[in-house]
Amino acid sequence: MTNSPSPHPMIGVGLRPTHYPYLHERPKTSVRWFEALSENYMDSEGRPLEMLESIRQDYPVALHGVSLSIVSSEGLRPEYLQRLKRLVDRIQPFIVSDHLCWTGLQDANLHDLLPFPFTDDARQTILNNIDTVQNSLGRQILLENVSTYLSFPECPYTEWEFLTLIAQESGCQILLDVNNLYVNSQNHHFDPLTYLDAVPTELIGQVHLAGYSDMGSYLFDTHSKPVYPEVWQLFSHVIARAPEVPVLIEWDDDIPEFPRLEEEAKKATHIWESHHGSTDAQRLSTTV
Amino acid sequence: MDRLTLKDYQQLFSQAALEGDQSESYPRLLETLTPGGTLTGPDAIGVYANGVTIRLTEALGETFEAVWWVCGDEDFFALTKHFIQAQPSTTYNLSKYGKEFPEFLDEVSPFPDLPFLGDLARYEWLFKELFHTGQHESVSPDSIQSLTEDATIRFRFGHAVRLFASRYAIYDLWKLRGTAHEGKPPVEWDHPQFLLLYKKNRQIYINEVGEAEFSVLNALGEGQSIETALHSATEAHPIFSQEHISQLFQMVFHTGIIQHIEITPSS
Repeated sequence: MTNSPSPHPMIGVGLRPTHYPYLHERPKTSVRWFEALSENYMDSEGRPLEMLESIRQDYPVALHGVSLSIVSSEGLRPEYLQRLKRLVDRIQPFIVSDHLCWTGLQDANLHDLLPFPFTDDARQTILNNIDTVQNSLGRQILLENVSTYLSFPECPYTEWEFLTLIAQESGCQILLDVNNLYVNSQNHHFDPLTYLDAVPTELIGQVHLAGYSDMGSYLFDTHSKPVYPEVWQLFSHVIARAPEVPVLIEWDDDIPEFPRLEEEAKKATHIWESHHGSTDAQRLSTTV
Repeated sequence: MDRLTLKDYQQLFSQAALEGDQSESYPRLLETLTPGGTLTGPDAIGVYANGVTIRLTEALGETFEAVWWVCGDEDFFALTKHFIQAQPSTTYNLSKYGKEFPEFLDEVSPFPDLPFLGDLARYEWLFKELFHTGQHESVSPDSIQSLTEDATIRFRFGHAVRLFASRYAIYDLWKLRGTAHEGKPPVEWDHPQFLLLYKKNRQIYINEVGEAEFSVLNALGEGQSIETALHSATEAHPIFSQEHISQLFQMVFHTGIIQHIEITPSS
């Protein structure tokens, strides 16, 4: 993905409509790339798409979906794939990703990132669906681990075993959401480092960072807070061994002003530099 | 869990998330799962069930902002709850949810003193569609100057053009959305309104027109010739004068709503 001889911190932020007026002026920012939610643009020819195309002129862009429903036992929606492909062809993103989950049934979509049992039945469904998507798009996709609030006790695989297996067998890569990983470690009582160390570095194609909400009886993935210290620590563990992986700061609710997002991105840069040495991220050119 | 296929599990989960503990599948689903954190099983399912309602309600609130403004929080949320139960989402895109909401409002007619709600919702859906529509290319002024009076001329409007009519003052209501009010909306809404909505230079514009002008625009949009459209309008509205016609066509050309002109020489 990069032509640079040595790695540099590749820190981006999510593109959100609330920042359109600020970004419309094309200010100089300290972020290296943007991630756009695919569904916000694949059904629009209006201002959102104009904004995305404007951003694309200045930055690399990743397309991140929430509605692919790769774990759907009903198969994928052909219309969705067609529209996603059209958007991908138009934007030429350097990453196309979605979530390792299902979102509901076709006659009753729940519009949520839903949990499922880590079984061989699910595994086969997912592998078939990934094959369909990657053939349709003509490119590799990344799948993200999701936060969950319930689990299934009789599964033959742990979450990290299943995620790894899916990536190895399908040829997709992993979008490792460190916040989701931490949320699940607290909700389902496992050591997050066990998870991190079990996922082969070469399968990780991108990292997400975000803030959760502590609901008292569980942690909730709200993307409405700064990244927590525990999540920064896990991020440090990941980035120490995966310096070239693009990293994204997500903030989807109670979204602050853009400069506040940049502060979070700078924190990620400082952690990267603590492992790999200081570098002037503004001056470096990355070809994507 | 190995007794349940992925398909069976997804059916169980979906029913439980939508219907709650009234669903037949609820006890079976509870048997299969371990709740996260210190949640109980029903609470864990509730996290997802509540999420569905919240997301669909937010989507409706975003699209039907003026309906929400007119109804107030309590009545709007009661309406959306009823609608969500009656009309699960079948679209992959959350922002596309609610196309049937205007007809739902017509059918349930929840507030007799607010008979315009269905039309207001229809207008908001139309506006949202126009927002997501790309800018069309308008015909050049040169094309318009070349029109000859002895030809049969038809226009094709651009795809970023919409016409909307209601027996109520929908635009006046919609313009006030978001402003503070108590009780009935502070606007005289009980009169008809005829609207032309279009995009020019990627911006949305809304023109209020008269009923006769609207009937001409509607006829032109349906592919009728100028001659036929004007004939129908002047018959139905005798006060529709030559001056009105002249002003209407100036507006038509100025707005850039024409994407194509079809000229058939008179025989």
